Amino acid sequence: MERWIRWSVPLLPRASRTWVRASLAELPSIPPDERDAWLRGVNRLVPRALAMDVLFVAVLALVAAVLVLADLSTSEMANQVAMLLLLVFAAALGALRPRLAWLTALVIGSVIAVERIVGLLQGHMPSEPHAPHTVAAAATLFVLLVPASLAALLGAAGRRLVSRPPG
Amino acid sequence: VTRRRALSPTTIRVLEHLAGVESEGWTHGYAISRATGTPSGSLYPILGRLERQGLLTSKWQDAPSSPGTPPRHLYQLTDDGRRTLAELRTTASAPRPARVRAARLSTGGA
Repeated sequence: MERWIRWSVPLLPRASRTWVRASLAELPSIPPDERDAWLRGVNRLVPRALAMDVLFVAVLALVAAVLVLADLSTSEMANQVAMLLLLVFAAALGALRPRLAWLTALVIGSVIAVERIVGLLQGHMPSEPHAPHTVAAAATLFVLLVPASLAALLGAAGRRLVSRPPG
Repeated sequence: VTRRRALSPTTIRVLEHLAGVESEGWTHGYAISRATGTPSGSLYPILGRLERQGLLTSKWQDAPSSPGTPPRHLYQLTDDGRRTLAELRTTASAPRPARVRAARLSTGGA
């Protein structure tokens, strides 16, 4: 159990990481017959601390699906709408979980390129005349990582600014 | 903005314990756990909340207490924590309606 807890420490949010490390640092001072009970308690902290991250990843997956749907739309406005959603979602999710802003930028910034590449590999040619028709051309859409990163970082910075304690 | 948050009986026990050891300086998680009967899974979230509310402060030990062991995380009551506890003690002896009102402590402002 101790090994699993130690392994999970780097995955935890910073505050929880401190508390789990602090509780593990007590172990050498705890009588051997009480260590198991202590570790069981510490073990309960880990899933609790990770729960919000798991929820966040689920929301991120949902947002990625929405972006794909927006991009697949045959509407003339599809590209603009997808771009607008990309920026708004990246900023909102960056603000929601500043620590994972890099993951937000990575997923949201690459989802459209990945969707187009997968579509081409499966033989679906885009109906839109200006859409990239080769995998290499579709890969240029990874450039969307730049606006997604900027939006996510802005969201994260805004959140940190707002939640900074006064003084 | 003044945020109000009720303190649980366990949290109050933790504050009481920290107040008791204050003259000796800092204390560590296992000592608090033993003194208050709080298991580790509940204790550390409580310590985290108290620190966020500014009622206690924490630090890592500069050097381990014995060779070969990791430095421990230490805790101490802050002035705000002392004030909060004093308020609690005052209201604990007050008539019941006042006690109920005062159990909701101001933690974000004056």
